Amino acid sequence: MEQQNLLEVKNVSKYFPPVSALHNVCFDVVPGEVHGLIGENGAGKSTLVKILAGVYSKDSGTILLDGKEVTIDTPHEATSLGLTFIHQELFQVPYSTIGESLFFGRKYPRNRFGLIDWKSLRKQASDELSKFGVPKNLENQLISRTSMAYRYIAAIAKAISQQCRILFMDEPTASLSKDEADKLFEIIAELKKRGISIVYISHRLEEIFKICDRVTILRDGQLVGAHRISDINIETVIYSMLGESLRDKFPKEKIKIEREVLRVSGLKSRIVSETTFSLRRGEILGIIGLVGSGRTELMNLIFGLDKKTGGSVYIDGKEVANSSVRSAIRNGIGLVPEDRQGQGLVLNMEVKANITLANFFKYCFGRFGIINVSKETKRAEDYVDKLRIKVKDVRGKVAYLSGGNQQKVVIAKWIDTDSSILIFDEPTRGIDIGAKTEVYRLIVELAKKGAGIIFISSEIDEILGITDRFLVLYKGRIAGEFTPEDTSPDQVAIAMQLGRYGNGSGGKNRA
Amino acid sequence: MVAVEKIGLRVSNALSNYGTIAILIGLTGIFAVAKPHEFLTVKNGFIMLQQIAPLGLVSLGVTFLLAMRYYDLSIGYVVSLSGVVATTLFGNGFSVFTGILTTIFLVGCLFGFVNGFIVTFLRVPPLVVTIGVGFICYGVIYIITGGKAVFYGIPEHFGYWGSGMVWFVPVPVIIVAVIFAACYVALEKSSLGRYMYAIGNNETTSSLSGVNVKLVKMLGFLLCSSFSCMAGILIASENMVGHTTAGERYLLLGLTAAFLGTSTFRKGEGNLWGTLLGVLILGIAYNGMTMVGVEYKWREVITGSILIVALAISSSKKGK
Repeated sequence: MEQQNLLEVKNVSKYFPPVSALHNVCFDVVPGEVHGLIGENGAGKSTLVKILAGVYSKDSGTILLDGKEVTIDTPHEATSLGLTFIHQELFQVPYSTIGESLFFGRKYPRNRFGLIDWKSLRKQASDELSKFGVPKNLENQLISRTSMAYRYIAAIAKAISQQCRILFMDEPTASLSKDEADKLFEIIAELKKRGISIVYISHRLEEIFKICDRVTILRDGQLVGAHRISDINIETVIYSMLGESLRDKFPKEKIKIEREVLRVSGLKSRIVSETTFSLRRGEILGIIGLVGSGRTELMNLIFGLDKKTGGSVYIDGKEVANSSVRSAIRNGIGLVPEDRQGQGLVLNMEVKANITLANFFKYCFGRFGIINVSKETKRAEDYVDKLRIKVKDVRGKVAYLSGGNQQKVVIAKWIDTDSSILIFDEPTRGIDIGAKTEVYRLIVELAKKGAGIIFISSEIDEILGITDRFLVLYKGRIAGEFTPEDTSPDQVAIAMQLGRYGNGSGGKNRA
Repeated sequence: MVAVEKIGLRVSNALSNYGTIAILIGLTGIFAVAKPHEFLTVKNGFIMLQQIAPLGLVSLGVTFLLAMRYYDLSIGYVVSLSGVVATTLFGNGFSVFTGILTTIFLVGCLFGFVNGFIVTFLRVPPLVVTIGVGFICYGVIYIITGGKAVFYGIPEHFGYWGSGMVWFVPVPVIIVAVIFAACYVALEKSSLGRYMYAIGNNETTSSLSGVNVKLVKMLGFLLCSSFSCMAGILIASENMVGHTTAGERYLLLGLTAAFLGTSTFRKGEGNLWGTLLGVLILGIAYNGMTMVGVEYKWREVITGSILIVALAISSSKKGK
């Protein structure tokens, strides 16, 4: 039964003083398998992957490839050993073509003057891409104008062309729609047939169970289990990841819904067609839709980021212009944005500076903008305690926190502004299950204190689990309004996909 | 073996963090040994500080922009133009006080505003804008002076600002020290500095958090130009002449000092203590080499080399 291991990682450790990021971890990959690598954020997955990629150096342990010990000191060495990595962000150059992107880091075809031979480059790229069933002429498209799915396929095609033997995929479906993800799974199955091994890193356990042969689970830098997928189920995996009994995933409570805090009436822009809805204090209003359904665009309108072309927004009954982000914030709106690191945080700044960024003058002496450091530190520490943010010192950089803790810092920032309307755009994307539950709890907590919450997500169970009422957006308009109690997941999925819904929508006139 | 490696790693990390400090101490040591009775004296210390006072002002201004990851290449000509405008105003009957204020307003604030406005609101890259504004300043200098130095009608007591003494401390040193303290509060202890660092690290997050990004950027350019302008006035006061090319060297020197500073304390970001270090290194190098008798042309070569070495040490980092 034992196959010869293609890759074998033995007792590898890595320390980032004072913490140990990986402790005696073993991990192996056999040819032609899909191997899931999972664990909560901070469990050590990315550290392990970065060691194999030659980004970090290991402190002890050995790495064997085909039974022979290898050293991987640079990303280039990793590639030449046949280990290829596709990162979540892809790192493609936006203003080059898909075809050209296949050749970064490889030798461009040259003509006899030693210049790039674009014609044969395009030909070769088109050959390499054609194996994946992509539209014609994809190789001539600019990266910036290509969908994430095809960009991902281009990254895979590039890996294959580099004689890749093990392909590491980090959260590949994070920015793909469901159809695109299914397409990706087909490609993975195809690669497997060709004997290429895949290490699949994802937070989405359903996917792991759908496509992986084996799974390795890490927790706190240690190996807690390696199983054939057929031997285990989701509950046991979650159990080993968390290391404690399953908590209630959605801490929903009955909250008294009070008077209206936000009303949007006929609001529209180039992308969003006339939208009308209202939100009450204490209410969690969900908004769900596929990527491109206008969710984020609608919120940008309310938050003053994009210009509206018509309609109006009322807060506490008064019409507000919200012509800029600053006026929206003054009017009591806070936004926990989709891209935590790019839009929610200043990674290179202290935890406390991030918490107080939107409300800095509260921590100043008088009106002169001179900071009261002890007041700021004290308040930041209060938030760290209250929100259970795992950080030793609020003067540490926020970049060193795990995804879940970073998200809590963003949330603390908006709690601090006493916003009456809080918009959460995909607040649990890319964070682990434990931290997700805490984020839900925080949101419920905020609703209890009388804030109106808008919760945007593309995950149906989340919307059904946490909201009081939700809207489905489809191509820039509201396709329907639902209450979770009267709605099944497939009804939501149909509304998201087709923009209409069958019978049981229900609850439209709920108080 | 391993122990040796670890020590090596520690040394290289320490060097990368504090290499500039090591160079400062090293230079001081060399000159102290070479000229024991002349270099390490209080008197020479103040002479050196007086020499670098205008450079200090220019670099302080640049630091505000560097905190936001911006820069300004018009500073050199703004320095020259300020000296020329101030002295010309005096020649036309302005008092010292009104002349200085008018110059700061006409040259520092105006060109800072132009730089800031074009970069911030018209979104032209600062490289293009500030070089362009630099050319304009250069032209204006020649329009005003016709290429001749301005020295008629400068009030005697104008010189006090650049070469006066309070007890044994030169006035320009006091001015720069006071301004440094004010900058320290502004950059490290106030909303302005907090916002500047936030913008420099992530403009999107800053604006989504309600920071008035455009205003802060404008202020950065305004401060940078105004500080260069004050440096120009200081130089004119010290020499009692408005020289058409007085400021040209300050473009490179000012940028270098502030850039040197980004290698220490707040790594990769403009910061005040770092800038102070950078200015001191340049000041000590020039002062010491002059004292030891290094020829002008070689001073430049050596200074250039020191800068490269300093930045090379601080960017070399072993281990990952």
